[in-house]
Amino acid sequence: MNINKNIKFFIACFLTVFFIFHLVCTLLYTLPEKFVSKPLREFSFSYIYPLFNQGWALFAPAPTINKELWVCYQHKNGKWSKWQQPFSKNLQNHQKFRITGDSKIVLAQSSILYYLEKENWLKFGQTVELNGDSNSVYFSALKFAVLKHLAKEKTEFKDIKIRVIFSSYDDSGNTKTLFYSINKK
Amino acid sequence: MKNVFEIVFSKSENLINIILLRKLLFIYVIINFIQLIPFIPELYSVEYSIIFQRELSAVTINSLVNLLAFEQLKNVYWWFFSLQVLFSVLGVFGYFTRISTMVVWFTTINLQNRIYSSNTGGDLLLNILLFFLIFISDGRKLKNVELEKIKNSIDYFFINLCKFQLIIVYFISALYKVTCNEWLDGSAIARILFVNEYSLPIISNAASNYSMLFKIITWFILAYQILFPLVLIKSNKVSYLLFIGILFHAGIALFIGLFNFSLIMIISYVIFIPTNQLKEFSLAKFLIAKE
Repeated sequence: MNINKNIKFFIACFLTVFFIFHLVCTLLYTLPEKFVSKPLREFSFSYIYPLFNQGWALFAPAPTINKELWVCYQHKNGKWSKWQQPFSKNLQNHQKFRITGDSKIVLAQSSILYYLEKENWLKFGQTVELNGDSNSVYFSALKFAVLKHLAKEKTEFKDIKIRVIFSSYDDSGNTKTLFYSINKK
Repeated sequence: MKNVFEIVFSKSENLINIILLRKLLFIYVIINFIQLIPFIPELYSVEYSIIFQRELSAVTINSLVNLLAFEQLKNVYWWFFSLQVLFSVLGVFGYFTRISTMVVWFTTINLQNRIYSSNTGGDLLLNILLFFLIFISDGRKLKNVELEKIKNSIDYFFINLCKFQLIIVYFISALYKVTCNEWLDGSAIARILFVNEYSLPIISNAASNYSMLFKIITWFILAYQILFPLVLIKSNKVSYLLFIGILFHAGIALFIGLFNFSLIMIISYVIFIPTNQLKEFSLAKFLIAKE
């Protein structure tokens, strides 16, 4: 098989165009929002998101909110359990042994709680109570995780309360705490 | 001196690096599976998965990499894991290189998308690199000279896509950081170490006691990310920069707890190690001995 110079030139041009297109789309998708217009971002999204999804802000801005998830449930006999942290064991293991898969559970929880806090824009010192029928996707995801966790632990309950505490790190090194409580009616 | 046309159509100098990268990524996938075994019910099973996922029904490119979101396929994750591990093992031993890469990419991206909320940048980078590697040959020479040249040109472009992807990771990350006050004033690392999931109790105390040290670490990380594109320079000194990067990522693994992210980043450095130096490593010698 003999491939002439024109075909080789065409192949080289095609690959070069694809190479440039891919890099430009990746940059448009990953650059900070202020550098890219909305239509260009949307254009790059349709190409990058399905197969090349990525984001490289990597701790910029640095996360400064500590998140704690607490759960309390009502037994069949009507008594309420103590408040407990359903995924605290995973966090402890993650801190002891960096190599374990506990990090997946920890990061999954952290991610939901991060967006839940962003969604509600709570002020420090504020306590917001929502009932279990909230339309929030992040609340649904959180409730889903808690219910599945309790199912895995074979815990039977009549009712459940979820409390999320966000504490912030301020410049003086002190923490401020706020409560976000949710009751599943 | 070779012209651009000759460079594109001749065998890539970095093919050994890519062969090694592919094998190390396969080994990583096997390690990741072993890590996940005790957590598979909690992450993937219909009964106990803590990760909420909207069901899909229409077939698009997006749904082809989200197959586990389909009602009928929710329970087939063990098949995905089995294929992923089987083809990773085949790939490590150099069998069916491209098919193995394709299967490992396809199963990995589907498995990762099922637990999207727990993914890190390392998981995303793994998918992208595996996808590019599908198009890169295993280095075996084709009998037909003309087809060999076309194969070389495809190798050339996809090897460079792998390299530029890594450059983009550091470039974009540095760009975000230089527009952030806490990275410029040096408080970013101390702040990150305050957050439980990215810290160790002992280290968060140290971060408040030795603030100057952590400021220096913050600026050092920022400088490293800005300087990273220097790895494109063809010089043996690049290895020093990469060695600093390995230390930096080892620190992220140990102190910030992003072990898998760091491992993927360190593995991907293989692309930039000068080939003559790469051949000196005994692990590299062992893995590429057959090729």
